[in-house]
Amino acid sequence: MVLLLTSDNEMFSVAEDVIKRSAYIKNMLEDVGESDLPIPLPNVESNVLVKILEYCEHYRGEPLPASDVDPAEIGDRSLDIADWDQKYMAVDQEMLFEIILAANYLDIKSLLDVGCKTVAKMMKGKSSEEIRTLFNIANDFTPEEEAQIRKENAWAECR
Amino acid sequence: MSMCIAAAPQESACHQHTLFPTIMDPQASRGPFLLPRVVGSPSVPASDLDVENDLLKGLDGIHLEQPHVKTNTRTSQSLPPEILGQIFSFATGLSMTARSVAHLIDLCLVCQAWRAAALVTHQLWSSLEVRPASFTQGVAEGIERWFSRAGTMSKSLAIFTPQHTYCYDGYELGGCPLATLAMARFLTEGPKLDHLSMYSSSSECLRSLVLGMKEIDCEEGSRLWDRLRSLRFVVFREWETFEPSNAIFLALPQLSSFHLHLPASRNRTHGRGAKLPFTKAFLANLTNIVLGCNWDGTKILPVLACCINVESLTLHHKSTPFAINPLAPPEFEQRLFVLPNLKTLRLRQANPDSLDDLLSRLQTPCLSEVDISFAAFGFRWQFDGDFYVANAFRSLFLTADGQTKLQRLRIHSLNITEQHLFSLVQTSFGFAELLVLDEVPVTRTFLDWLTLSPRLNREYLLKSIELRIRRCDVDMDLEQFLDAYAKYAGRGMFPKITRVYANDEENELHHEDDDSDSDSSESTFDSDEFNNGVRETIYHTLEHTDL
Repeated sequence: MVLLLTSDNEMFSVAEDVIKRSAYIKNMLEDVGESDLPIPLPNVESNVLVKILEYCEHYRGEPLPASDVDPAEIGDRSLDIADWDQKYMAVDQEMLFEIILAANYLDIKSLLDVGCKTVAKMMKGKSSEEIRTLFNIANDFTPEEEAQIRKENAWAECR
Repeated sequence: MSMCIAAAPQESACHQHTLFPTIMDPQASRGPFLLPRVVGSPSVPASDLDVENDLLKGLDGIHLEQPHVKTNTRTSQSLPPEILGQIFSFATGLSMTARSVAHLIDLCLVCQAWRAAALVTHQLWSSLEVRPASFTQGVAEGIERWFSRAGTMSKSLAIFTPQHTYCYDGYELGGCPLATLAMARFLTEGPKLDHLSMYSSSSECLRSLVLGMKEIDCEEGSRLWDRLRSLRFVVFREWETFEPSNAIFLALPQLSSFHLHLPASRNRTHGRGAKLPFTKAFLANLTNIVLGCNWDGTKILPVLACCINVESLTLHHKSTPFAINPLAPPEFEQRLFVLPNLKTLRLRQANPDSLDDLLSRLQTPCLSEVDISFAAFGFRWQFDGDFYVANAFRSLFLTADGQTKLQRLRIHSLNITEQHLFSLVQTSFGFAELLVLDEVPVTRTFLDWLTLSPRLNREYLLKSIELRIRRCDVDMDLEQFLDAYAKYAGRGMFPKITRVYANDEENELHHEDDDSDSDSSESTFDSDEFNNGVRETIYHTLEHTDL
């Protein structure tokens, strides 16, 4: 079992084959070896870790991604998301972004991809204004800047 | 906590000593980002660099926003630019089509931070499809600006020009939307591209363009055109079959990947008067060739025979027979065309009647994958008489002197009887490890046969089967079948059925790599689909494996 210490000071005891889906933890365990000391996760809160572990548990036993894959390589770029993953990602926006950040921090590429795809799907077909509304983002462009960007890219919109 | 993998949270000491003290370091705690942090491209023009530097300063602020202990509600703005870039990549899709260009511009307009994140994600700017009404200087500058954000990544450009009818022999540069002076200059002096796709109505556009490039004063070998590694020409209406095409073929740079798609020939001779005057050196350099052409085999096979280094070959038959000209010399009939390095053979819109005519003439000792789609436009091939396809595969196997051991054999959209399907599957047992039956009518009888056939034993190479079927074709419970099959397969005497895709709807046939060059109007030519995958494939191999 591996002990994990979250940012809100909660300790989790997790089966090694479950948490090894995190390349970050896997590498750490390989580097340090057996230990009964907890691994601190200062960027992950307990409620998010619970959710992350749910994902790792679901894919327990599935082959881990090859470690020699170049992170800059482009893999599957489609927006297809497996049914279970879609249900798993049916959370509020705050949790969605927490999951993405935690997946990135823990280096769980498949989960990060699912999170990014989920956000990408939410934005599909939406204008910049609709995306701002969706994610509650303030428009910090001046009208002049906005017009300039549109003008710069007008050539690409020729049909 | 109810999960078995995680015990209930335990009380922990506030100042507990850990094995990993360095992780508490603020820099280290940012965690392993998926993408390497990138900085501005050295090729960005000065004005853009200034803009980008300002934006990068903004990005540093984004990094610092990540707290170690959550204090604020997470929003999309708490995502670091690397992740935003990843999201944008998914949002814009495989290749940067005209639609995804518009979406990317929308994403850049959301806020300053998103624009900054997009600008430093080089991958987003490494491919582009443009559909200009005419290729003007403004379009050329826009493309150059776009690719300047791609850093050192391989760059892929697709240019789709609208249909027009006024190109003809002798038409001067500037008269057509593609063959403009701006385009000729762009291909001569523009940014380095790795892949270029050009879709045009007529071969005359291309001829004018290559002649126009010759007139531009530029040092030999230093032109962008000469440095291309991958090129796709798609002519979807008119191909001048005589003298004009020579100018195009002789001007081709030394490529490793070439895709030529010609409009379907309507007459019986299938391009009998036409030539494909490639140089031998050009063909010998290719490792990937895609030839969409329904000319008779007497024209095609000698071209293929010169592709001695080709590893991936795709032929589009356009649903016409692979005919051999009866006037061809008698030795042609007996000749075997050797492709010593061919690993992947794909046939699209193949005509099952004449498949054997092609496969029996090829000798392919290194072949490891064969992928044949019989999907045609609006119909399925029907067989009433002899079954040719299994024979064709036997031919392929035999002409390779038994050396061919395929890793994968895929058959797509073949409408055949049960009996013929049995024959086909039996044929594949001996020389393919994986058989994929995709949109091939699979009946209950076939599944029963597959489960019970005593012919399947350890002597055969076939290890697994994938089925992509339409549920309406199968009058049985697939789950039940798979359970039953698993019992037999578990004894190790049967190939495993590794994957079954079942579609409940009786959809139209899925056409693979449609080439709407025939009677269809331009509007049905889906270049988005055609060009799909450019960014992904150019990245690794400069080959278009999206077929």
